[in-house]
Amino acid sequence: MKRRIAVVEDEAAIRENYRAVLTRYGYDVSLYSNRPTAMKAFREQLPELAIIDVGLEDEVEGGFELCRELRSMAPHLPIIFLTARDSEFDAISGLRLGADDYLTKDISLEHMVARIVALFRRIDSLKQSQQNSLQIVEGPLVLDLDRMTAVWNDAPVPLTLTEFWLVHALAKHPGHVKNRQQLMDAANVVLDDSTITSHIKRIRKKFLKLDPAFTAIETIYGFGYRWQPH
Amino acid sequence: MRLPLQLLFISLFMLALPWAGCQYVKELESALRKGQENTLLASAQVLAQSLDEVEQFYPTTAYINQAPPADRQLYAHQLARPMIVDGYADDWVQEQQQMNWWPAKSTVGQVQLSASIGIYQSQQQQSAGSLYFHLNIKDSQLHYRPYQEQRVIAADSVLIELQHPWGTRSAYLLDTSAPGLLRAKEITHQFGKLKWVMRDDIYGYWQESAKGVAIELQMPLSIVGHRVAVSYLDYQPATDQVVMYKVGHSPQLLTMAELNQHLQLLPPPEGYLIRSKRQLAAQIASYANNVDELLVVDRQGWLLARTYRFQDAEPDEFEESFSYGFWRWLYRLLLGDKRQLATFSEVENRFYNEQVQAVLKGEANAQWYRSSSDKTKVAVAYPVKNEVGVVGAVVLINSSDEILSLTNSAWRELLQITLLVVTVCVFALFGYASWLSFRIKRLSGLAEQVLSKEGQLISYFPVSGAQDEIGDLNRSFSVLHSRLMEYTHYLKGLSSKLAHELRTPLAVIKSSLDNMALEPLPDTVKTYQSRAIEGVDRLRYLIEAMSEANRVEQSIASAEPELFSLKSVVEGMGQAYQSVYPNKEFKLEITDNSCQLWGEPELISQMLDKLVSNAADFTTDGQQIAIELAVLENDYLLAVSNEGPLLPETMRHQLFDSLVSVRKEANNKQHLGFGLYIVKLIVDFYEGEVTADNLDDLSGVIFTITLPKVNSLTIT
Repeated sequence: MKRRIAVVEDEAAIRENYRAVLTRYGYDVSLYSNRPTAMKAFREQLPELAIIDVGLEDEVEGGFELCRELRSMAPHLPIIFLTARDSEFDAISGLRLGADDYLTKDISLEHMVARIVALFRRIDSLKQSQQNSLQIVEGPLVLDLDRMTAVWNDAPVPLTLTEFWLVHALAKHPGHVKNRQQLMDAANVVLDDSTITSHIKRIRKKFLKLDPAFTAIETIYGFGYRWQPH
Repeated sequence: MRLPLQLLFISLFMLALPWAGCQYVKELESALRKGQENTLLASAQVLAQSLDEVEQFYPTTAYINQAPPADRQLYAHQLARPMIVDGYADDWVQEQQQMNWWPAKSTVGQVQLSASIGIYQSQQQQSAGSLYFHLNIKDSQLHYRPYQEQRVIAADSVLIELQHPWGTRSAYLLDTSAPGLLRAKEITHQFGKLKWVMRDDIYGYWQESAKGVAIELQMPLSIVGHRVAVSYLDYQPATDQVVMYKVGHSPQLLTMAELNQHLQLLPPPEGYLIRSKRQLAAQIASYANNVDELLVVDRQGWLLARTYRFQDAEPDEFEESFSYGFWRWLYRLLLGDKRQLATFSEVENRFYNEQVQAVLKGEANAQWYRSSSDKTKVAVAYPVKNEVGVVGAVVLINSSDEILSLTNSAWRELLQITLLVVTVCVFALFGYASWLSFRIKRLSGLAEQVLSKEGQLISYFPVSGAQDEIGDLNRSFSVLHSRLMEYTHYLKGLSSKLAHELRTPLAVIKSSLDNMALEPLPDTVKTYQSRAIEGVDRLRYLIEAMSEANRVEQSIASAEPELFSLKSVVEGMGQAYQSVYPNKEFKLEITDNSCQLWGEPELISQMLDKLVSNAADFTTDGQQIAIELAVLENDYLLAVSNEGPLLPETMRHQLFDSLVSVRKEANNKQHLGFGLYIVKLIVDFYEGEVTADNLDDLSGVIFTITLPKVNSLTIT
C-alpha cells in the first residue's frame, strides 16, 4: 500500500512539483493550499507524513498553527516544515512545535526524498520490535540507525533527523575531524556554515540538558567538529 | 560673526539712548539759559527804568555832550576805610583785589607814571572824607629841592590841578628836599609872579623805591572839584627845563617860562574825576541778591555802582569732588559745549567791552562769557536813557552755576540710569544670545552626531520640549532622523526580505529542474538543463549571501556568551586558511597569551573568514596575508593585513556599510559587499572597533580590530 503524504503549500507550482517527484517515488500525495482545507481533510483521515509550509495564503504563520493542531491529533505523525523562511527563530519555533525537521525550500528534491525515506524508516523501525537493529555504541552514546534514535547514558536524546545524521557522522569516526562539507553531505542538506553551526549548537544543548558535563562534540576552529573518543 | 557677538554689536545701538538723553539735557540747558537771559533782561529793564535820576550818571550837564576821551578821565575807587599815607600800596586793596594802577601812557624816556585814585567818604557826612592818590613813578634820576631854594619849580614834583563845578580852579605842587612827609603848596600868582602858600590839609609821603619813587597823597574831599589832572614834573637841572608827564597826555617839554605861563593861566583840567555813586549803589542794592554782580556804567563804561551777591551758600560738596569734574568732563565730551565764549575779564573800574559798546548805542543785549575760573557767566546789559539819549547802562552778571548744577545733576542721573539700563540690557541680550547659540550649537552638535564616524545613524535623537522655533527645528530634525532611521532600517532589511521573496520562485525553478532531471531527456536538452541548474545554484548563492547578514544579526541576538580562548580560535582558523587558500602565503603572529574573552567564538571565526576572504580576493597568488593577534592594555588587537592594492580614499568611510564593494573587476565569485558589513556587525557585538588603513609602507591594506577584554557580555 502506498504511503500517503500530505503537502500543504500555497504555491501551486511547488506543490505540483512535489507531487510529481513524490508520486514518482511511489507515494500517494494529497495537496492542500491552505490550513482550513488541510485540517478538514486531516480530520477525516490522517496522512502518514505531512510536509507543511509556514506561510499559508493569507495566514503568515498558518503552518505553525497547522502543525500544532496536527501534533495534538497525532503525536507521532512525522511532520516536516518546508519553508522559504530561513531564520533561526522560525526554525526553532517550528522544531519546538514538534516538527521532525525544518527544511528550506531550496533543498533539492533528491535530498528531500532522502529525508522522507529516512523518516518513514524511523517510523517503521519504531513500530517494529527491537531486534538486531544496527547500532553504533560510542561510550555513553548509542545510535540506533534503523530507528534513527540516539541514547545518551540510557536516556533518549530527542534529535531531529538532520541532527541525528550529524551526530551519526561525527560519532561514527570518533577523533576524526569532520568539516562542514562532510557534515552537510552526511545530513543530506546543503546548508551554509552558520546553519551547521547552529545545528551543532542545538545538538549540544540537547545533550547538555541530559548531562551537564557533556563535552563530546569539540569544535576545531577553522576545520570543523570532532567527536571526542571516549 | 558668532551670534552673541552679533547681538552684542546690535545692542550697542542702545547707546543711542544715553545720547538722546544727552541731547535732551542739552536742550534743557539751552532752554534754561534762554530763560535765565530773559529773566535777567527783565530785571535789567526794570532796574534801568527805575534809575530816573539820570543826572547821577555825569558830573555836569555839559559832560553829556562833550566828554573828554576816556583815557584822560580819572577814576576814583570807593574806599571802605581811610588809607594810611605812607607811600606803600599794601592797603590799596578792595574786595581782596589790588586796585589797579592807572596805566601811564607816557613811555618816552626813562620816566613812567601810574596813578591810583581812591575816595573815602564817611558814612555820616557826605562831604567829609578824603581823596587819596597813589602815584608810582619810575624815574632813575630823582631831583630833590635844594636847601633854601626859593623858586617855585626847582625839583621833581607832582602837580595836581582841580576845577570846581562853579569854575574855581586851583593847582597844588608837591615836592620835597628829602624823602618823607610832603606838604602841598598851593600855587597862586600875583602881578605875573608865581607864589605859593603851604597847605596843611594836603599832605603826602615820598617813598623812594628801587626804580623811582612812590608818592601817596591825601586831600580833603571838600576842596576836590569835579575835574582833576595829575602830572609829574621831571625837573631837568641842566637846562632848567621840565618834562611834564600828565595822565592821559603825552609828555611835554616845557621851559620855565612856559610852565609859569601855564600855572598862571591854569587852563581847566580836561579829565573829570569819575567816582562811584553812593546813591546809585543804594538804589541798586535791593537787586543785589538776585544776581551775582550788578554794574551800573556810564557812557564811557565807567563803573558808577556795583553790588555783589552776598555769598553765604557753602559750595556744594559734590561740586568740589573729583567725580563732579569727571561728570562735567564727560558732559563736555559727549554734549560738546563747544561754544567759543568770550573770556570775561574782571571788572575794575571800567567795563567797556563790545557788549557795553553795543548797549550804549541803545540795544539791550545778553552775552555769555567764560570766566577765568572756567565758569560760564551771562551778562545782560540794558541801556539807561533820558530825553537826550543813552546815558549809561545797567549790566547784570550771573554765573550759570545754577543751571549747570541743575543740568549736571539731571544729566548725571540720566546717564547713570541709562548706563545701568544699557548695561543690564546688554548683559541680558548677551546672556540670551549665549543661551540661544548654546541651544543652536547643541542642536547642530546633535545633527552632526546623527551620523557616527562609520556613517551609521545613531539610534536616539533627543526631542526638545521647547515651544519656540529652535524647539521646532529640533523636532523637525528628530522627525527627519526617525524617518531616516526607518528608511535605513528598511534598507538593511531589504536584502533579507528580497532573499525571502526570491526563495519561493527559486524553489519553483529548482523543484522543476529536479523533476526534469528525473525525466528522460534528449542530450541537447540536458545541456540546457545543466546550465539552468548552474544558474539556479548561483542564484541560490546570491540569495544566501543576501540573507547572511540578517542571519548574523539573528545569531547575535540569540547569542549565548561563553568564555573562550581567542587565541585558539584565531590560531585554529589561521592554520586552516593555508589549506583553504593554498596559493596565498599566510603568516601568523599570535601572542602566547590565551586571550580569554566572553562571547560567541563562532562569530569570531565568521569575522575572520570574512576578513581573510576579503584579503584573499585582493592578493594575487604568492602574496602574503598576515594575521596578527596581540594583547594591549585593555584590548585584544586582531589585525589582518594583505599585500595588494590600496584602499580608495573616497570609499574609506563606507567600507563597512552593506552593499558596498570597492572591487574593480567582477570575478567569478559574487560580491555583494556584505563581508565587511558582517565584520562590522560582529565587532559591534564585541563592543570593539574596526579600522581599515593602508600599510605604512603602502604595500597593502590592514584591517585592525580591537576587542575590549571586558565587555557587557562578561560574566564574572
